[in-house]
Amino acid sequence: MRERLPILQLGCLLLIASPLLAKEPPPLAVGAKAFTESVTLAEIATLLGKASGVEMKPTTELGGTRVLWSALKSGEIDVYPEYTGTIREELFRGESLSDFDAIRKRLAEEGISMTDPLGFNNTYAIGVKRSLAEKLNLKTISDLKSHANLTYGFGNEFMDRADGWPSLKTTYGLNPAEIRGMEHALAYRALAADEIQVTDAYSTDPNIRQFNLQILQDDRFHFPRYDAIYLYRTELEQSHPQFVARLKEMSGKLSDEQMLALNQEVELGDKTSAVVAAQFVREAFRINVSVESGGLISRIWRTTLDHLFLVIISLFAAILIGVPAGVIAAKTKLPGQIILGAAEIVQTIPGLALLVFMGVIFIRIDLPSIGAFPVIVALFLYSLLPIIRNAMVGLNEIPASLQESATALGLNWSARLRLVELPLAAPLILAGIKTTAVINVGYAALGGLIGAGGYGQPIMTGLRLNSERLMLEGAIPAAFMALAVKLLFEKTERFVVPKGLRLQEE
Amino acid sequence: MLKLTGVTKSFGDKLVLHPTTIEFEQGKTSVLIGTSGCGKSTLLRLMIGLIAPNTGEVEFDNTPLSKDNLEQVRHRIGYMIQDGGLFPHLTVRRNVTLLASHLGWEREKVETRLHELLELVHLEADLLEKYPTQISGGQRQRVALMRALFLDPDVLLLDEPMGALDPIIRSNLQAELREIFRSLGKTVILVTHDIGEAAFLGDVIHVLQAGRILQTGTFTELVHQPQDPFVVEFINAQRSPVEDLQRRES
Repeated sequence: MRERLPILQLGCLLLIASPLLAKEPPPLAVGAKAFTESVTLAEIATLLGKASGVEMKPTTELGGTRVLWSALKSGEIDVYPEYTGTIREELFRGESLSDFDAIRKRLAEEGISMTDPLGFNNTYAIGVKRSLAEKLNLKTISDLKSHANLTYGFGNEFMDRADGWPSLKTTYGLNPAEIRGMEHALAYRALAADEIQVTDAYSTDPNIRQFNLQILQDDRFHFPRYDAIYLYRTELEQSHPQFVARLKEMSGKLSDEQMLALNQEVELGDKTSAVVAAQFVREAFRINVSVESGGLISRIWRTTLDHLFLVIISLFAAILIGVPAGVIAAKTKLPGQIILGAAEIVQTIPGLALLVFMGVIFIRIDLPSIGAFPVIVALFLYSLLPIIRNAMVGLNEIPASLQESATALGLNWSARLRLVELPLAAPLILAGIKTTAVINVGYAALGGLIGAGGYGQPIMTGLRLNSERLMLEGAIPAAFMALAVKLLFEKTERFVVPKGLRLQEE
Repeated sequence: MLKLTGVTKSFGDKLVLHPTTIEFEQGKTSVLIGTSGCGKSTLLRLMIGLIAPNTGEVEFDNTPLSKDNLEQVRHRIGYMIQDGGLFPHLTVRRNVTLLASHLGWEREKVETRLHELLELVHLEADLLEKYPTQISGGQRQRVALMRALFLDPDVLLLDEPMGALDPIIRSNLQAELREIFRSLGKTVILVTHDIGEAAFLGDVIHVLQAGRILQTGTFTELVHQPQDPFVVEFINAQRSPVEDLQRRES
């Protein structure tokens, strides 16, 4: 066992380093926000890239506007679909960019370029159930003002955006009894279940039809235009001129109705965004492109490998750091308290917040802010507390008589630790690692938010498409993996926990 | 061999050892006896550096104990406690040979020593592969003694080694220990609260009370020339059922 450890460590290092080593020659990457329309538009861009002979990474679904914008600026992605309204109101809020030229000029300062509008305007809309609209005679957003007892539920992004709820509230003087922020895909379900009555929607969202929503007229013209465009790194014009030309050809190719139809095919049919995108590219560009959709088994196999990668690397790193940290925590007063306190603070940070926060820092220090790396770092950080704490408790609970016997024998501190204390603490240390591993299998689903793959991917897509089948495609294997991990560790106990201690328990 | 000069020890506000000066004769068995809390175990723990004195000095082989020589000194002292202090995760063999193999002894030398000691403490070799939980209390103490003796130390410190044993097993082990101590000629310091054991094993007995040594002498001296009423009381507190019976019958 002792001989194998350095190899394992080396293996871990290589695995962590491999995404960095694989950077050249760099294929191009298209990013998407985690909703159908953005994913479909991104898939179209990916296919257009491939059609121009460029090596393309699979489309990466990422959390929100800020994550994508940062990833684009840092070069982790090269293209992503965006909306002019978002650029004005969110990316350059307060700079009052009046027209396309102003936006282009401002983007150029960041090394980013923009195509002409693709055609459709996907603005925000406020919707209520049609039955409720008829009952209360709601036609415009202003009509909501006289019904203060309604519960509002908005997507998290809408809750925060400058052009979202914060300013909508002022424009219309709305003051609802209760307002909740939630994952946008869940808002429709909450609406159907009558948990909320008012929600935000995108005007090309097929859910408006599926959930039978009445869109309330924006009678005070609050929402700006959201013309869809592609943002891309300006350097592509030199390095990949054909690809950029293709992207520019997209202008005017998608009307409101066409986009809605594409969205509907994905969300209400059972085609993936990639398949619908390929169909569109074939028809609109008369280029023969195809996508490998892969069977269920091969998809699960791939997500399983991705998921295992996230869990295993982060767990090994956490063991390598956590157990020694636990020893320090058990043996020292002040440093021990600092270590434990820091690990506890990390534990209280919500997963998404941690990812975003790390993303901001990683970009500054030139580390990947999306993909597997930040997820592994986040899982690693979350794993530390249970491992450190169990190692500490395990060491502290060794009977004083045994610790003194080891000391009185004349063993030095490192021999005491290696020969006596760590073996005696092994059952608790292993229990900590087991807990961590099982929790990590669940937490690794965060990977779906920043394009790290794994079971989080089908879960997020399923959530967005309102597809239970897709959600289960991630959730069921995740449950099995958690179970398998637990069983594996129970078997491992035989090898890690000294036989004498197992006899003691019997 | 072992000398304590003006040593005191307190835990918090409580002074558990008043200034004490004591020297242990080489090759003799000295017994520290007294009621619980009298400071006898504290004295023993000071000698092997498990605790440090507040004042005064502990000397081993004419050298004061310090952080730098503590491990070396411990290799020359065998230490054994009430329940044996055997490591539950290691076999009897590993418990006994742990320090020697850590210090890099050759396998052959370890095996030779192991079998010498098995013979000395009257244990069978098939015990070596068992774990401490799989053997009896008496066997555990013999194993602990093997461990304490493995490096052939100059001094043996025993802290109530037979406190947890049945009377017959204890009596047998006491007899064997006396033989072993005599044959090895080691400096032995034994802590006990059993005056019978002290009389049987001890060449010199130190009676302690409330952190002070009241009297030092042979058992005969303690009985015939007690220097403190407590010494008389302590000796008389030991019940002898046979004597009691004879007294009642006469």
